[in-house]
Amino acid sequence: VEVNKIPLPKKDEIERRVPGISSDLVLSLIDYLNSIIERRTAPLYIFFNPDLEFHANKIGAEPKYVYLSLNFLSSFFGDLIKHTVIFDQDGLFYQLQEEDLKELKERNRLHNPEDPRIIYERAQDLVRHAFVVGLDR
Amino acid sequence: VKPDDLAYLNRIGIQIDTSILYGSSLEELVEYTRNKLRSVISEIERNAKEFRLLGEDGLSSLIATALNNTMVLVAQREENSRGHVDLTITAPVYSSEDKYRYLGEAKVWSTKQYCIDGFEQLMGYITGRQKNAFTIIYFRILECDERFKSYLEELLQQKGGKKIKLENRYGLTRHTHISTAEVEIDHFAAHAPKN
Repeated sequence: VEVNKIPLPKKDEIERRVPGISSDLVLSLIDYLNSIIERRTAPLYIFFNPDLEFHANKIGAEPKYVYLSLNFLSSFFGDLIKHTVIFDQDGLFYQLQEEDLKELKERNRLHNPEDPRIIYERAQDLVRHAFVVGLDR
Repeated sequence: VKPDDLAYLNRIGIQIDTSILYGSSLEELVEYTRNKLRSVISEIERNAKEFRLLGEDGLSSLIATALNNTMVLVAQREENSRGHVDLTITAPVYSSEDKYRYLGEAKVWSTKQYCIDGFEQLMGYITGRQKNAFTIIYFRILECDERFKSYLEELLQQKGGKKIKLENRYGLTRHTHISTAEVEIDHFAAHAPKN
């Protein structure tokens, strides 16, 4: 299977474009994520809680800096790493699209995509946040 | 019960800015960015002496770092396909890059014309698909407000366009881009005298 690995930016490139982030940490994180996604056939979801801590432990970093690095990497490689909002309820698992997010913000509710008659109220409490890695496959 | 992801971020030391929410419109993102830029510029003005050695590049990096700390915006100093642009601001979590891409050109005041040329450069970088862009002028000299006003007047005279707003060290103008799109340009003045 052809794998879309995350390209390794040059250290000075990271430091120039992403002030305040350790380039060593960013590079180890990319290496680590590449080693995972090359073995997978589906995207990797990193939920903020508890996955950030799990992956941070694997590379010996603090979860805070893993979050910051993933956040910034998502701006470099938006097709490979993306911060996403997920609805995971009643056996449904899907990434919210722009219209869903608008509904979430304005009315704090979501429609069940399979049966729009079902409406989830107070939906802000129901969604999960995650980074999805290895999208483009 | 779902674990609260945002509360978890708070616990590990990431303060999520809740003044803007997922699903915000592009207009709200532009307004949010404007307000953040103004607050970073005020901070630079308050601490001007500490930053007295910084030039255009240093000041723009400082602004990029401060914007990145919002956890909403990602500000980069980079080259785009049309050449060098001082600051590119995106909001990756909130909007795709092709929809929200706010480009800015920064200049240290030397002459009115130098800054007008900076505006011209900025208009060359943007494609017209983005309806907003901005300029920042760093005034390292004592006179700021009058020169800034006179720059805006001269700019409109030379390049055409319309003044939408003029406030203390801030102006908003509207222009017709070469693509025929109407674009709005924010102009920020940062008064950070060397002495």
